[in-house]
Amino acid sequence: MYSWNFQVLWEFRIVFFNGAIITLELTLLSMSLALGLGLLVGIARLAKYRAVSGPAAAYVEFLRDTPLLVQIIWVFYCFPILTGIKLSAFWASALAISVHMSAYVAEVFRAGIASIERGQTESAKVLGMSYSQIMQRIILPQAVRRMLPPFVNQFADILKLTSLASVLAVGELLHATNNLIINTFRPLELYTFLALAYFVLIYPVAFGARRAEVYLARRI
Amino acid sequence: MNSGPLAVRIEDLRKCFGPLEVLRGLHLEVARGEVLCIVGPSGSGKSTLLRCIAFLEEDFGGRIYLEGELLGFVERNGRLQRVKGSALRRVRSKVGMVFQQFNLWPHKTVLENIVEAPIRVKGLSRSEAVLGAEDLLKKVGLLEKRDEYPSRLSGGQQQRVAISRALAMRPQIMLFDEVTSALDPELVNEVLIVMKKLAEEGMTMLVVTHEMGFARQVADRVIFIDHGVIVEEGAPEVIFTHPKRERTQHFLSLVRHEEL
Repeated sequence: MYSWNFQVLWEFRIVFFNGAIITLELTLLSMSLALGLGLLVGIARLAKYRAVSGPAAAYVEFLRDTPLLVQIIWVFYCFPILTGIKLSAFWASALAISVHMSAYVAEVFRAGIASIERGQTESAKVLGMSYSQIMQRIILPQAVRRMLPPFVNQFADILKLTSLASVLAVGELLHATNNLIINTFRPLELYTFLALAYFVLIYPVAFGARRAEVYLARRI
Repeated sequence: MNSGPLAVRIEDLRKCFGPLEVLRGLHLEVARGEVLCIVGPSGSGKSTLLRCIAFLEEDFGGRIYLEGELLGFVERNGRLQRVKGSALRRVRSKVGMVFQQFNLWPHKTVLENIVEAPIRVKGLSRSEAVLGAEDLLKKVGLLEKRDEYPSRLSGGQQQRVAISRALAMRPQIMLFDEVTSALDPELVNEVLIVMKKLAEEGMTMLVVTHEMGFARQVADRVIFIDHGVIVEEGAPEVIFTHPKRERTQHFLSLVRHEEL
């Protein structure tokens, strides 16, 4: 019978704490970049002109059809050779995760914007509003409400995917835990706690989002 | 009627959707202050005509002049060149449009719906815009609804807000596209009353409608459109009592039948 020893968790709590901080940093940075990039690509996909929408569609397709792990490794090892720009393991991971997730975010933006009835745009157009005003003031505020659930899913996805950065030895939760196991030989306690730690980070966001949805649904 | 250029002048307007020719060389002149009712069977091109005048349809043949200015294009050496951005919006701002489906913005209150464009497009201060909006809401009898969201309003109330929103931009020409067709019968009148008032104030109005009673009472002129051309036009009493064309007679007999 295995004898559990949870003492090790308390002893090395600071390691988990630091790992969690890096995981969150990576998540928030990647989510912000993915949102910005995804918005641009999503709008480009809806463009009337093929010259704009075509490349945007190709971008989305290519990124979704290649593994993030490969993209992370490519950005860290190949990108610097091709461009001469050297990235730290943290920034290479952040860049790869952002670009990868921007493809999914773009699809959410595209679907969300397309789901707003045409009359919403038309009434704004006749009132003289410009394209960017219509997007910012009329379409996106409505679309974003519909996009809240998929965005929360993507936040959870990104948080989980940051564990892939451990291949570049970024000191996020998984890598921090692996290091600890090498030193303490306590994989059962540490990996179990690791899973719990991810849950604790993600659940409050999912819970909050569900509450926000209910609140917004009541207002409209 | 006032002198000066015509409110609307349309020359040889053509519009296709794919192989379907919806407008087939339509000519129309509307004087300032005139109330023109546009009737005709569904699919005859009535709504498309209004949508071209509002430049919601951008690829049309022919020319549309609003208050003497060419809409959507400039003429250089006898050739038409498309204009975009603020040059387009300046001419388009002469028209206001009200839609069958109201198209209020559901995430904004009644007041916010009305002040949005005056603030963002005309650059009015918020307080000026709010004063104007409250005036308009008072006129349509909805001042107490200023802070409600559109979903809390009846269809008739929403449509009156939509009219106020269009008027807040001080257009010279108002387009009404079947604005009572989506309303429950008991709510139609409150919208027609607002439109009638507007007509009495001298607004130039182009009204696509199935409300023959309204057309008879308020219109200065009625045009009957079928298959993308004007089949017949004249004073309402002439069109409704002595239509010359067989197609007009047929259409009116169908409409009357419905009204019974």
